[in-house]
Amino acid sequence: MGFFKSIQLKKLSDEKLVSQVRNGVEKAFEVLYRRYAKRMLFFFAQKLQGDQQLAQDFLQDLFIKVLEKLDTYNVEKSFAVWIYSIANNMCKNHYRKVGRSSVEWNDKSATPYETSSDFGHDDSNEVFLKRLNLALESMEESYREIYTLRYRENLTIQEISEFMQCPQGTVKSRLHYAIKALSVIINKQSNGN
Amino acid sequence: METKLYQLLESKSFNELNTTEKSYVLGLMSQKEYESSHFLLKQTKATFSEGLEVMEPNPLIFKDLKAVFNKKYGAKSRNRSFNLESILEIFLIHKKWSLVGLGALITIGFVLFEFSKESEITTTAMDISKIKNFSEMNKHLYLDDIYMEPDSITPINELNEME
Repeated sequence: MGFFKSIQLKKLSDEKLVSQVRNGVEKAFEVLYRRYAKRMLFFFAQKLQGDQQLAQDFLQDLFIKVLEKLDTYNVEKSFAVWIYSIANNMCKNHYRKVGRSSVEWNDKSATPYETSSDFGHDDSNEVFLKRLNLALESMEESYREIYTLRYRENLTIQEISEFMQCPQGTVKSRLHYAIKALSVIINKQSNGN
Repeated sequence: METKLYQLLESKSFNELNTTEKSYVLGLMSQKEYESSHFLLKQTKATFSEGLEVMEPNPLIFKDLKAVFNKKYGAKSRNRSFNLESILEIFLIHKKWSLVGLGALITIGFVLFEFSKESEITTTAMDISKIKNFSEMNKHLYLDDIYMEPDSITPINELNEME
């Protein structure tokens, strides 16, 4: 019965899972955690300059916050947007505490690859990633954020629009600009090497 | 940027586009621009999904979270019964099988109902030789209702003796 229940829960949307969690269904919470744990860990690793241990701690704190605040979450809104907003605020608060501005930490945000030797990957991806990060660093924060939310976090245009609290048209035009600018910069970098 | 162009950029290289798609794309940007944008998105997705693959949350995290969960929802979880909402959700997820199951339940219910109606009919048959006297017989045959005298009934054993 537990097995079938688990399969049924995996088919539910995030928002329906949240309703189940509120009813005290532990399996629903497990499904929700498995759905987001890797993504959020990756998000933290990126935002925290590849500090794996800190990212793991943040992941735990994030889900504790999720459980604590779950009653305040409006199921008619996207859960992804809600959880990313909490995660984003956690990072901002962290850098505020250690005395750096959010702009600064965003500008210096790195990938886990750059600071950790734990990850095996081929050189071409590593080179591309370095180029991409350099290109992203040179862009304005709003463009960089939209690009990473769309292509790293896989959020939809609508979710990004909710997350950033701006119209979908603005998200689309910024994304268009970001893609165009990044491809030009990366092309220049490739031709320069 | 239009949604259709996003979809093409994210899924197809310029060479994979059909004639209609090519003319649509070329109306918005050059072939070189399309190719470099497609390469960028493809490579970004590949790199990030590779990064995501190697991410492994510490298993202890979930154990701790379960404890937090049980602290907040434990009592609710233990007392939780199978409510209407969850039945409806299961029904909506597995519409086809739920309808088959519902049909089967209705059929079984109907058969059982019909069967129970038949079994309600009780028999009045009895072994009259085992009835000792009039009052006992009266319980089954209601002889009073037809004003029958007890003497008018001769037990079968006495009949045998008379013969």
